[in-house]
Amino acid sequence: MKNQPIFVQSKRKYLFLADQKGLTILNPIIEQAIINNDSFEVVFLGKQKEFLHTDIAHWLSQQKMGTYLYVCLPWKELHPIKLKIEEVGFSEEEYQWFGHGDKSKNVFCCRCHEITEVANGEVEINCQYCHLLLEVSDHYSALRHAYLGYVAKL
Amino acid sequence: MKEHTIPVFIKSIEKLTPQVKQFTLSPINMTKLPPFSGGSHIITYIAGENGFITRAYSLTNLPDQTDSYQIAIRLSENSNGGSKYWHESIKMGDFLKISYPKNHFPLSFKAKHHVFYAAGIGITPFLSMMAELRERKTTFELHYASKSEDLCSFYSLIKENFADETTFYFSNRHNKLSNETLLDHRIGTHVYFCGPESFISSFRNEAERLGYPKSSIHFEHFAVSFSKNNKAFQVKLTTGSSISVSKDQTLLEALLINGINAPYSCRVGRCGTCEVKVIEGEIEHNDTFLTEDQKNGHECMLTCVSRAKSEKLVIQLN
Repeated sequence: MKNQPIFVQSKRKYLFLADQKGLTILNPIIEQAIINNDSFEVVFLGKQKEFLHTDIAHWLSQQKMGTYLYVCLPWKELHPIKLKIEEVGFSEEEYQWFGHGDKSKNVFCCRCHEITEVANGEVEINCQYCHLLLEVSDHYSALRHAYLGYVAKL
Repeated sequence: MKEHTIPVFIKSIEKLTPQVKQFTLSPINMTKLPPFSGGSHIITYIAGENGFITRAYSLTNLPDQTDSYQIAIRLSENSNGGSKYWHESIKMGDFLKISYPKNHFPLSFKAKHHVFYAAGIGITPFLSMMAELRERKTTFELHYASKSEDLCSFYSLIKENFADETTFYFSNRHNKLSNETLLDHRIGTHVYFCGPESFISSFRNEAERLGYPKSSIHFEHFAVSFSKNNKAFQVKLTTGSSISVSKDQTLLEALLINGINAPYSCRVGRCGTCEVKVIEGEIEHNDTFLTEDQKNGHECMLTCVSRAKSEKLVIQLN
């Protein structure tokens, strides 16, 4: 993920998937597409969540090669959407994603293998399942979508 | 010849079209040949008057059929030894050596759908790839252009096994394969091109223009295309020896003929095995391996396809 969205030139079509705040963040890119007279489509995810994940997956799967996607959503909503995006076939070269708002982190307990969600920035936490004190590492598992928690006190 | 090779003999020869022959190669000292993956090729070594004639050919049999290998060779109008020798001199029972299977044109494991574009004898790598995908139960389609049904290699085999996935384009019926078909492929598709240079460039350029990511575009060249404008040049190695490269010879061939143990593998500028450091001289890069930055840096080159723009190069074997 990049810190700021970057406009990728020479795509046949651009897609934008965002909530209200996300649209603000993606706005410079949308404006660039308008200036270039590029084809584009915006899907707005409002609070009512009228656009369900299955609809999004269907919409994404109908896209053609040469399409480029920008996603900007609250951190909590981002991960399941990213899974859909990759499932339908978008590669890392075909989309950019950005999160906003409160960011939490999943920590994988090295003892009981359960996952505890904590606020971003926590250094030590208690596993909510086995209560072991864990040190939050920077070792991320894409498979678990979690950071490894080591035993904090031996 | 430094490469480990497998001795084989010609078990059978079949004429597929007036210009294409299929050769079945069976092992001499072993009962099974090594298994291979879809898109693999072998290098054949035939002893000629001036050393070995070496050519790369795609394996056309099923990847799990290892009692023999099959290759299909089109007689090239401009043959400088390879296809002419295979068509006119090779007989059943002849012995030759082949390399172990190599694959510089593998199937993508990330693709959700695979689309193959073949022109003429460019069909050969796709036969084993389609068989592998059928086995994996992965979707694919083939767009196959030929001058006519009579000149279409493997027409019956494809009709029999891959009819639902294949669209034929015969120019004698004014049914031309256009790169506009690239507009139709859904996200997650990987495209593969094989055929003459002009065919590959046309489809590659159009895919890139439409915004396909480079990692979703795959292609295979058959051989080094010799330009009429090629010039002879001199090469000095940092070890001290000097060699001459004639206008109809690659730098790699010149190195090997002169007994220099130069590394190589694909011989078509794809794999990077033959990369050498360039100390002095201007390079004409003809490969598809180095990045644009590397090419503009003029500090390295692939000896199998690239040449000198200047009269002399100084190189260092890595």
